[in-house]
Amino acid sequence: MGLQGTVPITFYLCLSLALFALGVAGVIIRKNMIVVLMCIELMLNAVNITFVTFSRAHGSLEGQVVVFFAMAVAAAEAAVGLAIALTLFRGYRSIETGEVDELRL
Amino acid sequence: MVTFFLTAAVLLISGAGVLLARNPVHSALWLIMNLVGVAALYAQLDAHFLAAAQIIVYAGAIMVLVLFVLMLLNVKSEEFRRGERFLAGFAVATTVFFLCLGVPVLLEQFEGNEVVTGLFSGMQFEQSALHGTTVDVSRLLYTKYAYTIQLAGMLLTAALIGAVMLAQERRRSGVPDAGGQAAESLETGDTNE
Repeated sequence: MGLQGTVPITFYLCLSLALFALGVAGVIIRKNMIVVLMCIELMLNAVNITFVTFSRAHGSLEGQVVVFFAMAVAAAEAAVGLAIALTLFRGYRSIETGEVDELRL
Repeated sequence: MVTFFLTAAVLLISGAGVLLARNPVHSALWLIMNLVGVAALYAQLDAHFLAAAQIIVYAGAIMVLVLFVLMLLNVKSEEFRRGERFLAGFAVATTVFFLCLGVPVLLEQFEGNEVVTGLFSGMQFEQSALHGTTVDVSRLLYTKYAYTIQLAGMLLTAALIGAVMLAQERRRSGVPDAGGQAAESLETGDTNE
């Protein structure tokens, strides 16, 4: 305790906003599908920071429980997303988002 | 305060690194740095269990999976065309702008909530007895959210089975299709490394 005592809540939220914006921008400008997946992880983490911040501000643990479930969903998403990327690579020899235009091989 | 700004600097620099690194493996390494920074932020917010889970699940398991697939695919570096770095900065700025447009809507939504109305007057955290220790979080997880955690387990199992189904090679079909050939050349590509 005490470390966070002098930092306003807004700072945490602005940091989260900046990270989310970085993630969105990454999804827009990157062409490698796996990097796009990583940028989605960046966005998920930004939202998780907001959850933990508000959990701390409201003095309730429920926000942290939500973050825990978000982590579980992110793990599932990463597993399925990487499997799809692997399958697409077999068919197209590429995982550039511009070249892959069909999900069916 | 100093701890927060150090962490924030690490988070922003590594987040930009994910975006701007040409080599996808470098992107993944920057992202690991970012996830560890997020864990540090959780620790500052008294969410100790989440800080540990973040390092174990994200920086450990998920990023190892991502790096494994990246190195398996042997993806070439992405070449930014001239002006694309400028475009990246422009994209970030525009995204921040449009996200900021949503703030008034949110404020209106939570009108009268003392936490939200206090945000813009530099509200500080109260000194509360809240500690996100493993005991406290898991007490909530296994009582109030007992069914949800079962669902999360089912989701993970389904995702695991789905990932195996998606990624496994189909060799049962008689004619070796393009996918099979690609998979074979993928294997030879690995031995060349």
